Amino acid sequence: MVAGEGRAALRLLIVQAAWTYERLQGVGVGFASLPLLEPLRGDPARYRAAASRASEYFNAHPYLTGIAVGAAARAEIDGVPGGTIQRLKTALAGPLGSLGDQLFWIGVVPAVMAAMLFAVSRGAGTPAIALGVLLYAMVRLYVTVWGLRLGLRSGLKVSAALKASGLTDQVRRVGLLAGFLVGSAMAPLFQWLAVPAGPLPWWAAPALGLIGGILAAWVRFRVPTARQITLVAMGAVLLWNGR
Amino acid sequence: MTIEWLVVAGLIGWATLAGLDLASLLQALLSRPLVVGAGAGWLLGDPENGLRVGALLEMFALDVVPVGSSGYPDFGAATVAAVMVAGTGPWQETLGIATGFGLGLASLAGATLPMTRRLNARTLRANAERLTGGDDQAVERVHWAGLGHDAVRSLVVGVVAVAVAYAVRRAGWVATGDTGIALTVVAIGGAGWAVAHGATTSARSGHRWRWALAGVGTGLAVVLTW
Repeated sequence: MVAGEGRAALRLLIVQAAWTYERLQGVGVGFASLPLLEPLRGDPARYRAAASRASEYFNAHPYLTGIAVGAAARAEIDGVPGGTIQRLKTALAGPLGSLGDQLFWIGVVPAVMAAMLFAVSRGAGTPAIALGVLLYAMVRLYVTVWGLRLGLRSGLKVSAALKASGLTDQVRRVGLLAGFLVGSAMAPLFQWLAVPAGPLPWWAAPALGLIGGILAAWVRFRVPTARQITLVAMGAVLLWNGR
Repeated sequence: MTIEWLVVAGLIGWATLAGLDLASLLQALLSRPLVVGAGAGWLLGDPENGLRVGALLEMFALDVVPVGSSGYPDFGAATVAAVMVAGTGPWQETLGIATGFGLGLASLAGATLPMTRRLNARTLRANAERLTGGDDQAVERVHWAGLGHDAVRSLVVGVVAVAVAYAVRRAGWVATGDTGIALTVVAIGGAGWAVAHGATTSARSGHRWRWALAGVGTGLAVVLTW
């Protein structure tokens, strides 16, 4: 374990707190990097240059930012030239952002939420939610620590190490699992929320909604969001019934 | 219809934590409507109601990808308020209006995120020289200030949302009867729209579509047999 690794991992849990349009996650990355740069304190000029570089413009998926934090800190300690470290961070930002979005925001999160929705619809109740949140929090912590260690171990060779780790191969699998779980949750969920709508069967409203959503995603012109459409439809119902 | 002040304080605290989890702290599902709804329902002594509201709003949230610079709704405090509103009558009649209430509040709460970022930017500019000079204390100061800004934002959003919901509960301004049921039907249809839109947008490959369809088949089998 590298000195300051634990504190850096904890700081990565709030890496986006000072997010701005100017530096995006930059200040958060600097904040998380400081404990790792402690060995440079003996050379104040080097330390300040490293702290300055660490706080520059940067953005990636928050769960995977630790990979860049670790790699850049390792490079700083190894005495790699500043320009090379800046290029390393620039090269990592896009791929780590895209990978994290696909893996977590479009994969793991919908999969976990769909599993919870399914469980709740079958009567599992609040304990299912508590269990899901606990397991997810463990995954979140594990990924943060794993990413930081991967970066610290690899330094400038982090891209190759990331590829060798197999994380990128998980994107497709997690995506398929998310698709399956979201699909599985729908019918039980709508049955659980079923409300008789006059002469129409309970599944008429969700079925119409599902078809509308698929068509809206397929058409090329801009369609209002489901939230906007729902609020407008509710306004129409209130106006109609208040005549 | 009245809620104890201790419970109100708990709801505001829960809403604040959910607001922080959205972007600044952890990002570990504590801002997801289903999780927030479960917690709010538990605090209000009506977990089933919290789960129903949370589940319906969660389907809308599945259509949102919270990428840094894009605008996105904040469902945390909105879900807490929606659960409070839903507890005013039979769920079939109040679920729809509560969902509408939650959707509206989520959009308004989401609009406060850029304000926090502008405040962060102001702090950043005030410390720009020190940051460029590698002053570690400036880095820490700017970062903690950012967390403070979001904590205040989340608290204010939580207080406003809970106060509005509390007033709605006390005044009994919740549509019930046939109108309430019609609103619930609309909310369920809208939730179906949101999930289908989110799933279609995310399913870039035919494989994911096939797996989603297999899932739909599995779900239907569960409904028919279990």
